[in-house]
Amino acid sequence: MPGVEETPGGARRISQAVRMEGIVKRFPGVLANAGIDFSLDFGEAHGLLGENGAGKTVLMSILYGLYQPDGGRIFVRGTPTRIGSPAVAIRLGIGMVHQHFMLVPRLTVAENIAVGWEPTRGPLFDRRAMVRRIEVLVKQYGLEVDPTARVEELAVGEQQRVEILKALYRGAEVLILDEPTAVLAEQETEALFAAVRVLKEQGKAVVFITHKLDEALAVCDRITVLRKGKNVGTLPARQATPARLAELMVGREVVFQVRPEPVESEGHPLLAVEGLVVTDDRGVQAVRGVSLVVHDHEILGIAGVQGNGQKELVEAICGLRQPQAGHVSVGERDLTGASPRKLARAGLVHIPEDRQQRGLILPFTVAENAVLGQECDPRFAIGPWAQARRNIARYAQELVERFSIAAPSVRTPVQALSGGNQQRLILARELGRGPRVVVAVQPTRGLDVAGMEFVWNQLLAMRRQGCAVLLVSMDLDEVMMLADRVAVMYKGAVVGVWRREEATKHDLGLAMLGGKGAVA
Amino acid sequence: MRWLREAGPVVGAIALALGVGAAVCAVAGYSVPAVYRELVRGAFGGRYQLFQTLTQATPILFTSLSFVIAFRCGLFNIGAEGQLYVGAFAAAWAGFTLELPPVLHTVVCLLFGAVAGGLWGLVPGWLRARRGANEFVTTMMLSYVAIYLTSWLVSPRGPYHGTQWANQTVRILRSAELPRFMAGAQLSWGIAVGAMVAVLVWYFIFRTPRGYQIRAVGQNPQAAEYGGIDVSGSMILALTLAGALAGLGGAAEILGTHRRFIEFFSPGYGWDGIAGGLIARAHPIAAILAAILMGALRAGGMAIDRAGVAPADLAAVIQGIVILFVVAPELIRWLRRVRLPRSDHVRAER
Amino acid sequence: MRKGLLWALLMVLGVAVAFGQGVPKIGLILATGGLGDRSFNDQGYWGAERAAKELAAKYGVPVDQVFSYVEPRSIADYEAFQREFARTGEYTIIVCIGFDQAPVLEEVAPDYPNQKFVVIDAVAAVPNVASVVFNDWEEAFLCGVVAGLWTKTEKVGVEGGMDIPLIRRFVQGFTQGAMWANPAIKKEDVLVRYVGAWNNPTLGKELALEMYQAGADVIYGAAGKSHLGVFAAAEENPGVWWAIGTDVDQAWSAPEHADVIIASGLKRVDLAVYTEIMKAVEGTWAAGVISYGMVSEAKLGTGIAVGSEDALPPYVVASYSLVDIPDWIIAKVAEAAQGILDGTIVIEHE
Repeated sequence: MPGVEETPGGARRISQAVRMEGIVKRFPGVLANAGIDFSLDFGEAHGLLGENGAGKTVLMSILYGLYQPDGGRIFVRGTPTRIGSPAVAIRLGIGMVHQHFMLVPRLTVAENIAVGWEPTRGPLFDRRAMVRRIEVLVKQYGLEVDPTARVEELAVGEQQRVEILKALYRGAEVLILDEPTAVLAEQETEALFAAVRVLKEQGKAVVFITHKLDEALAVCDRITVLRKGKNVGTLPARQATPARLAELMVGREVVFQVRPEPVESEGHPLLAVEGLVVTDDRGVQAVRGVSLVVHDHEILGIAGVQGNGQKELVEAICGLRQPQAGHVSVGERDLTGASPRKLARAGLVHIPEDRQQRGLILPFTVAENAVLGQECDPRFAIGPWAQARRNIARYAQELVERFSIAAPSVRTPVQALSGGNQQRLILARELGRGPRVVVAVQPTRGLDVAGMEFVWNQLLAMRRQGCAVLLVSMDLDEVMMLADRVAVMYKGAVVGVWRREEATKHDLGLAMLGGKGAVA
Repeated sequence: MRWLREAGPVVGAIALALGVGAAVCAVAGYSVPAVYRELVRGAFGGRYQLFQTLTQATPILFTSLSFVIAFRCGLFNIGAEGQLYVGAFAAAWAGFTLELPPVLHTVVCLLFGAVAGGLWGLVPGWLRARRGANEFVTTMMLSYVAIYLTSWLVSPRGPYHGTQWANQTVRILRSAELPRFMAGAQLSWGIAVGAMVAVLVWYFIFRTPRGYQIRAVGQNPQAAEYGGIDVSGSMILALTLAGALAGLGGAAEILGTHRRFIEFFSPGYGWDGIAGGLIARAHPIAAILAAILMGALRAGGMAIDRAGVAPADLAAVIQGIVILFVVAPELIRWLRRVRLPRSDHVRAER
Repeated sequence: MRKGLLWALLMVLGVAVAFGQGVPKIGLILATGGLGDRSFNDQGYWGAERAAKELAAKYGVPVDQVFSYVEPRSIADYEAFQREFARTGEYTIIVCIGFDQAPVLEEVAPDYPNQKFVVIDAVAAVPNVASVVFNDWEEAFLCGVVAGLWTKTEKVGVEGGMDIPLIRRFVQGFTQGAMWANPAIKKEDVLVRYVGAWNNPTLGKELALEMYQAGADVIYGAAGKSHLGVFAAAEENPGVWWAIGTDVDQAWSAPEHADVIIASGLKRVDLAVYTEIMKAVEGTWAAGVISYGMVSEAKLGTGIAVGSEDALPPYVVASYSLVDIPDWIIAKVAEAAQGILDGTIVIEHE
């Protein structure tokens, strides 16, 4: 029976699963946890909320035995415990599902779950028993997944369920979910919430790390907010409001909404896409004849469920994928299939969706990343045989200051920066080039409130200066808030374009799911 | 201080490897102190020994640099051995065919070697960039082509069979020689050329826009492409330069040490370069030290053999253990980097 | 009294020093094939080892104090090893096995004018090198005698490595031997083919088959590794086609063909190495080109391995051949050898 334990004093229900007292953790130059108290009960989902870099993951990594604390104590079921490694944590019934899954794609679900803990019959590996045990777990927690499927064939949400099952299979009573929704689509998020509720009902203790207020409010019983390595408040979800939580998180009132000021477009088409046809990596047509125009002083939002051709459209516009047919013009010039460098010279810059894989070279320094794409410019290079290192450093320093990037120095590798600051650096680099056209894809994904606000304001500033901005986002609220016009993509085609004043969530949502659209 | 942190594990691995080597020695029934005394004495025991170490280190330095420059672009140049051979042959050919004044002749021969090696790198580079052919396979296969092609050239039926007895060319002209440091030792100015080239490679990789592009492609080809860097071009350039460096090494070896092209002259300098480059953590300046380590093991190995304290095979075993211990962790790390792009889940939060 | 003691001490020291210096030391640098080749290297090693054992016994020291040897892994290692030995100045004589050491030795030896060197089977024109060459035509003549007597078709063949003076001397010796033994054989009954390479047994076999099919039933191979193809060809028609080997008893070195090899010419590298070492130790050593063979100053160095017993050692000795050779043939071979020795048979050669 989960949550129940016999003590020498007699049968007593111990409801506290974990208590952490005064946890301190230092990294070179960073105090990640500055004496955090945290407690977790069986049968609850406990939200751990905070901006990027607040110390959430570090605190939970300590509980999972990945890091050793520099100070403080940990009690598991009331007993003081030293958790020296994840193996110890697992033995204590603590499981963790990381943001990046640790699964072997070529193996089946069952094999991934049981790896290292395989049931055996004699010297042999008892595959049938393994599958049976997993099926029981699947049913018990409603974590729908086929144990015999290969992990590489699964959707992201299913892979996450496999990770959760893996922890449960190993006897986890305490389950840590590290930003579980960051990788999920809307429906998958709903399914995850349902699973968390079942786990809770069955007496498990769940830690839900997130920086999204609504998620914490939707699924958690209690919420602890961390700020700069400190616990700034633990409160029952019922008493929490978004505004209160946000205040705790950033320590000031947050403007949730930015309001685009009215600006008048002069009607110059700065980015024009005409009849674009693009195939994806498998050779399937992902974009089927899209035509779009973005004018000066205008933000065109592209909404749609992920996987409806947005990625391919953007890549074709930005010179990363050759279109099969159609044209892309920047200003007056036809730049179909031109290289990113040529496009950048024509004034088109790109804020890529995957900032760590596309936007940055993580082992490179801030300065090196600041000139990615411009490393041969006369400003930064003296012919092909020498870099103007002082200019590069000065320029990077300028960007760091102008865009308030929190970096110890321009010589710091960007992998040492937080996600929000990495995104700031990309924005700084691209917007710092003085573009005429900005293509931004999911620019606020994974950012905290302050980071989002920063990005939004930057995009609006570009609009104010006369840029054409193409904003691709899965976040409908974001698109509706910022865009002057909203185009909805469905199955590789634009099914409708709305003026902001005329767009309703209902209409857009319908169009995103393949319903009828209106053309503005 | 960073170099200290990087060097620490390497030194540890070397010490550990020498320990295991000692155990092997003891198990095989040879005197451990005698073997190691000869190893150290043979590599560092005096000026001659030191020169011998540097002589052996010279070609390894070039092939290490060859490996390093390709590795910086995310490519694995397995074919330095073959590039070394074509460079060596080209330099020898220029050395006995052209008639030029002394210093100029040497420089021209070195250039011949670099160009020939460069061509041998250009082909796999082009195949990789334009056709996606794995450079692992192509460089290695071209390596065999080079080794046997040059062997044929100097074989009795080939056009450059120079002496009646051995499969080798005639001697290069005196004007083409890289002079030696002193009579009685093999060490030539090739080592100085190598050190200079190491600095140039460092400068190229870390201080020029082209080097920046090569590193960007090596660290994150997707981001490089996004940044408008010519990924294919960078790969071709990196492998061509890698070939040129190995070819230059072959040329220096011929002009400084052998004075003629001899078939199968390299005892595996190209392969040692892979180890050297990995030991150096792909840093051109560290490659000088790595090459000296490898050279010392070779020179010490020869001394062990000559002194008769153990057979040459045992010396080779000790060399192998050292390379294995120092290189294996790096190699594994590299292979993991190839397969699992990123798994540092806790990094972002820090 | 004190003075006397001092003198005694000095004398003891003097004797000890003299004694220490008196122990000769042999250095041996093998060819790249290394030990176990059942040919050149093994023979060279036996010769040096025999000398070393005798010297060790004479001076009452362990063998490894008078004898060191190395097995270079490539031609490129020769120079380092030659210098490694010569530099120490400890070695009475340094023996270099293999013709391919000669070009390197020509550059190294002048740096050590007081060091005695021996190079086997090639000429290095340096004042402190003894270049040992063999009267190859003598072994070829004896092989020709066996072939001439053994053939049933009155037609024999010879397969040479290359059409060069050295190999033509083999052909000339063999032809004269066959004609001397069997008057039915004319010059045109001795078929001659040149492989054009020393290491192409496939082509060697093709050419041998051609000669066998043209009617020759005994073929003499003088083509290095290439004439292993002669043995393989003979195996295609055992009991009808036969072969004769060169330089060592190839029924021993290639035992899988001992059923078709009826005899082998001998080049006694071991005797030459032993003799040169002893000459150096005894003070009779001289530089220059030294011929070994029946008609030479040493009166030894060539011969034949045939039959199951030594008929005229060291010239006609037993072979590991599985073929039963009649006594009258052996007797005729011994007669030929005697004729060469006493000058009644004169072999014409280039």
